[in-house]
Amino acid sequence: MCNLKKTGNYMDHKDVERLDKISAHLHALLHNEQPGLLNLAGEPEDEIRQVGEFVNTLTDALSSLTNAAHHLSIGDMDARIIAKLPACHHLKNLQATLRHLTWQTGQIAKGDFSQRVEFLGEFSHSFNWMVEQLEAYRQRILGQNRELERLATTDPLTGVYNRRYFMDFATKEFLRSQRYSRIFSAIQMDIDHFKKINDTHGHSVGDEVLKAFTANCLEVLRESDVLGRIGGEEFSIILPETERAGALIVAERFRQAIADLKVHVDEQVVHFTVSIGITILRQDDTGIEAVLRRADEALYLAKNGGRNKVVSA
Amino acid sequence: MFREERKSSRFDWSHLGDIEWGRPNLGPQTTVAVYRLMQFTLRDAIISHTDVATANRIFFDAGQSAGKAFHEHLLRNTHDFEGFIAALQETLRTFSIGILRLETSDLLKSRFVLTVAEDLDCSGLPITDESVCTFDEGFLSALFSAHFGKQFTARETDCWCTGDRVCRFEVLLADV
Ligand SMILES: [Zn+2]
Repeated sequence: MCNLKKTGNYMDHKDVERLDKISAHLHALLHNEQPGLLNLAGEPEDEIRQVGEFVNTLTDALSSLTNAAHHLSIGDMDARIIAKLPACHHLKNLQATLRHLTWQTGQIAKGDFSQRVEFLGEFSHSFNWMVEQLEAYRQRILGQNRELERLATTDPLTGVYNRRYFMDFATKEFLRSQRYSRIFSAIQMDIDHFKKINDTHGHSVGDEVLKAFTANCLEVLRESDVLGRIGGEEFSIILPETERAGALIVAERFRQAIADLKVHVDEQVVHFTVSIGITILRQDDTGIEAVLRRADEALYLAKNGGRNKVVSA
Repeated sequence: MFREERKSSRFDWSHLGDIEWGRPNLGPQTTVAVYRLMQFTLRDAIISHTDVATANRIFFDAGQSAGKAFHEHLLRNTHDFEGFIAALQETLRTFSIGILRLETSDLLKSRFVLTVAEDLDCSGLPITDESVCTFDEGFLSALFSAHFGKQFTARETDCWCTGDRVCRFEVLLADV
C-alpha cells in the first residue's frame, strides 16, 4: 500500500486522501487483484470525478483483456472477446487466425493438402512445410502401393497379367456377362514346341521369345481385352463384348503375326508358331472354369491337328 | 439500360462496359478510397431519402446481384466445396477485395462461418459499434446460393466497425 505524504502547501489533507484512494486502486490493478469500482462520484470537482471514470473504464478494459488472454491461452477460441482496448483487437485477430487454423487442420486431416497457413510467422513456415511433407509422403505411399499392386498382378518377365489376376478378371467378366446377358470370348494359346526352343537355344532365348510373343499379342488386342500368362508358355485372353466371329479374326490375325515373326537374339534367329483355341460364353456355362475348359479342348484339337492353327469350340 | 423503371434486377455484366477499350491509358485499377467514397456517399444519400432499414435492404440486394454476376463471370467453375472456397479465396485476393478464411464448414447442416480480413468495404473505418457490411452479406449469400443451387443467406456477426479486426459472417440455408 502506498501512502502519499503531503508534498506541497497547495494540497490539503483531503487531496492526499483522494490520491491515496486512486493510488491504492491502481496498485491493486497492477498486482492483478480485482479492485472493484473506484467511487469518486461524490467528489465536488468535475476533474476528480472524471479521473474516477477513466480509472473505472481502464479497470473494466483491463479485465476484459485479461479474460481474452486467458481464454486464448487455454485454447478456448469461442470466447467472446469484447474489444475495449487496442490490445484486444490484436487478440481478436489472433483468435480469428487460430479459428481458421483449426478449420485448416481439419481440412488437412480430410486430405485437402492445398491448405497453407499465413500470418503466423515462423509457425506458418513450419506448418506449411509439414503439410508439404505429408503430401509428399502420401504421394510416395500411393506410388509404392501402385507398384506393389503391379507386382502382385503381373508376370515379371512379360509384364502381362499373372494367373491370379487373370482368373479374377475372368470370373468377374463371367458374372457380369451372365447378369446383364452380355457375351464374351475366351482364347487359350500355347507356343508350339517351346520346350525345344529352350533346349536348343537356351532359357534366355526362351525368355525373349515369350516377350516377343506377348508384345505382338498386345498389339492386336483392344484396351478392354485382358491377356494373362497362365503357365510357362500358356496364355489366355478374355475379349469382353466379343462374338465368336470377332474372336476368330483376332486369333487368326495373331496366329499369322507369330508365324511371320522372327526373333533375333545374339545373332540367332528364332522362328516359332502358336496354337489357339477359342470359345464364347454359353447360356448353360456354370462358371468361368467351364468356359476356359472348352477353350482348352479347342486348343488341344489345334495341337493335335498339326499345330499353328486356330480351332473354335 | 440504366434508366428504365424496374421491379426486379436487370443488371447485366455488359453494364460494366469494355474497360480496356474505354480506359486505354488509365487501365482497370482505381483506389479503395474511391470505391468507399462511392459506397458511403450512396449509403448516406439513401438513408437521407429513406431510412437505415431501406438502405440496408438496398445494399443487400445490390450485393446479391453482384455476387451472382461475380460467380458467373469471375469465379473458376468448381463442383466440390473445397474447390469453390479455394477459387473464392484466390479471386477475392486477386481483386484485392479481402482475405477470406473459413472457420466452420458444416456441409450436413449447411452452416458456414467465415471471416474476411482487410475487407474492401470496412477495414480501417472508425469503430462505431455498428456492422456495415450489408453489401457483403448479399454478396456472400449469392455466392453460396449459386454454388449450392439453393437459397443461402449471410449475416455479419462481427465487423471491423464493431472493433473486431475481421468481418465474420455466418452463412446458412435460408428458410424459404
Ligand atoms: Zn464488416
